[in-house]
Amino acid sequence: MNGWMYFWAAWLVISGVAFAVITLVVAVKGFRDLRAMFVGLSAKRQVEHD
Amino acid sequence: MNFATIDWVIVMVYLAVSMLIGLLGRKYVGNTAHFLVAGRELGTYIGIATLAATEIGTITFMYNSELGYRYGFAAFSAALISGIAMIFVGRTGFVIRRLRELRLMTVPEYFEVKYSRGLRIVTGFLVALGGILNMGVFLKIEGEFLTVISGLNQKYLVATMIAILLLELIYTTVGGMISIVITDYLQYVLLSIATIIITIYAVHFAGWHTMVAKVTSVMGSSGFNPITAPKFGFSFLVWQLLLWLSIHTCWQTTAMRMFSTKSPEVSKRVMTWTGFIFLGRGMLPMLWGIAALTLLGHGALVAGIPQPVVHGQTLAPIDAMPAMLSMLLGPGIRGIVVAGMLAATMSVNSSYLLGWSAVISQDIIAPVRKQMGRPPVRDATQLLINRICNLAVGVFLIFWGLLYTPPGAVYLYLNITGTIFLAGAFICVIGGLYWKRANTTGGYCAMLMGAAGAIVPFFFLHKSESFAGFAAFGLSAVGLLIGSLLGKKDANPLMPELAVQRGDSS
Repeated sequence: MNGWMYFWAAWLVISGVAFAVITLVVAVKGFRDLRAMFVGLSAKRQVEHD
Repeated sequence: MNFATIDWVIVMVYLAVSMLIGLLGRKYVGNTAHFLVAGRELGTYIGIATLAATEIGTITFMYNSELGYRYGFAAFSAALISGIAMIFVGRTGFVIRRLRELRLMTVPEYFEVKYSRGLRIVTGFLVALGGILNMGVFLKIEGEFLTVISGLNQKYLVATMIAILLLELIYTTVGGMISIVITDYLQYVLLSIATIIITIYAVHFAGWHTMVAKVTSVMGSSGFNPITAPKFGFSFLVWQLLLWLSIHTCWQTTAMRMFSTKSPEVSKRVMTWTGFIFLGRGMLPMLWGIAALTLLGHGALVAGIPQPVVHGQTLAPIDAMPAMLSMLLGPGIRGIVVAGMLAATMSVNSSYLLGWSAVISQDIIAPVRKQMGRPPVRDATQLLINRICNLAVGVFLIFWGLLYTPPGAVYLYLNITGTIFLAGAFICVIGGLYWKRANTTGGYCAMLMGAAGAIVPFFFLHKSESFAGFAAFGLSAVGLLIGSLLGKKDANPLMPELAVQRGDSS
């Protein structure tokens, strides 16, 4: 039982840390992606209009 | 009422901001591809945000915390499998890379590309039916969360849930996937903050060692070992692996994110990194459930588990987590957490609304029109059909979601209803992509036998979820194999290498 407990504790730490770190990275870099998406969509609409 | 003025202000500000930025998406919608797959302009990080936000809702937190409450640490096995399966799909590009190369907009669309228009319509019908019924229970569970945590009077609950659904409907109908991606970004950040806050509170107040001791005293070694845990066992773990592989590759809302990325390579990266988020998506709320068991689990034993008791009132295990939060969180923090949960709710519901309505418009209405010899509609008309389908699905959900109560553990119920169409869809997609002999006869057999394999054992023979899950995937595979070997070869099967001939490699 102890083996399973340590196993789940390790995965819990990995998942918690990964969740927090990825959130931080996505919050910063996702905003940049969002702006790039707007630029790309505007360009496509412009091409369609022309 | 547990809510202070500051909590209401936080929630209202969030709703207003979410609505406004959602409406921003409208000015970028030019055609159906913009509406359904955001013009295939998603980069890696925004792709991760929108995929994670789509698959993490209040419903996810509720059913995962219920699993933690009922099965202890052994429940973590389901979360671990979902995350590892997602990382595997992302790293290898299994199925998703080839589907992305075909520039699809929905999963059933593949069935016409590879098999036949008739099979696309049958699959579209099964996917939409299963998906909408699956989503149909969301509102009820989310409503329970809001009622318990805010102390809202039950008589205002229906009006509140309808108001939230209407807000989602407005921006989803107007801006489609573009609005959803923009709001998903905000919602992902908020729901992640709420997740981290709740985890800190749960561990701080319940205590790690106390949680371990409680699970040990209530469940013994079965609270840690998934092989011996009730409802789990080896067959459950294998079924979960098959199910999560099929969800990550063939679940409409997940697949739409893959179809919306800039390239197949971006879709692989998005899937891989979201896999790590999926570990937390499952394990963290399961931990909240264990904390709720530790703090509130003092009631009468039902199936060996003490029921949660709050102020002398016995609750259902699924309501233990929000009841615990209403006790632990102070003013302000409670508002942030509820705003985060509303964010989670809205991101999931809006994406699911778009996903299932897209299947109805693209995979049932459009191909049926073609089959009847009608000319294709103009793009503007197709957009209008998509929006009407959106509205129709929303209206159905309001009635169905508030009337229907799922039996037993919600996680297992959602799994088995998903299996009804996922087993056949997954087997057909794999067969179509990786086996040249797969044909339309095999496709029909796989879809129908997969659905029968889930429905008959579970609903009529009252077998376990694991048994029904195995039966669905097994029968579906047998159906594809035998049907393809006995049926006629398709006249014009499109194998993946032909995607290049379509000029659609990105």
